[in-house]
Amino acid sequence: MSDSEIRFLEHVCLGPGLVANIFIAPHKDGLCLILVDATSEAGRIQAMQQKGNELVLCMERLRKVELKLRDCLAQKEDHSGRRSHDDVKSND
Amino acid sequence: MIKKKICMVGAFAVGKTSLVQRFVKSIFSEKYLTTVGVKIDKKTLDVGTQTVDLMLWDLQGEDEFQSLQVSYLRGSSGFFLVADGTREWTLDKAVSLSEKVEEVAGKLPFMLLINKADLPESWEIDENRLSELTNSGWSVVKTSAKTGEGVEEAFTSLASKTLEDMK
Repeated sequence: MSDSEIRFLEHVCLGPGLVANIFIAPHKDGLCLILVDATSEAGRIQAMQQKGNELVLCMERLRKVELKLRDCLAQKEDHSGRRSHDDVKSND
Repeated sequence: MIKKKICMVGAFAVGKTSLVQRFVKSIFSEKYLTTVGVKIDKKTLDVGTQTVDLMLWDLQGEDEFQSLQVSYLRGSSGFFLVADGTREWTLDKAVSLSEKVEEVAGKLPFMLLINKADLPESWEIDENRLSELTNSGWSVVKTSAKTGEGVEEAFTSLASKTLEDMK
């Protein structure tokens, strides 16, 4: 990235509930900053992203529960298999 | 006054914002609130005989919809890679992000934070994997934004590394 380029910082939170898109451009001996209000845009994205991420987190938790359940079932089957084997042995 | 820009990088919902909140404001909230874009916080820290203004750039996590915006990394003095100890894939993400950051910002001091150390019963990350990373030269610290475990030490340690980098 060269110093003559315009830099763009998207969705910079400037304070509670205040978000801006910031353009930084070289100007004479310094820099020119342009701040464009992006509060409502960021709010919309946040709401959508929040729901999406919560859904992914829920799915991750569900997958963990499913794995635990499968483990429990496998253990139970193993246990009941051993018991019936022992029953057959004692009947003999 | 020395100023240092530190970026928080990692997958979504690993606790980047919570770690910053814990360090800067000594607060913690259980409620998950996804970050859009970047939030910038500041904390003044005494490191040895020097006083440093840490500018903490809390970058939005990588998720299904958004990837790391490299423009935020410019001018960084160091960064934290954050993973969630209860979600193993977030460590893979942290490792891949470290490569991405190095590509863009060059070699910078960094630390890997394995967050949510207060949830050992849900822990997924293998200790051997962390040992391998430590052996390859990474600084790995277990943290909890909830209890504060490891947080102050991690920030102080990275601040100190960025100062050493100046020498």
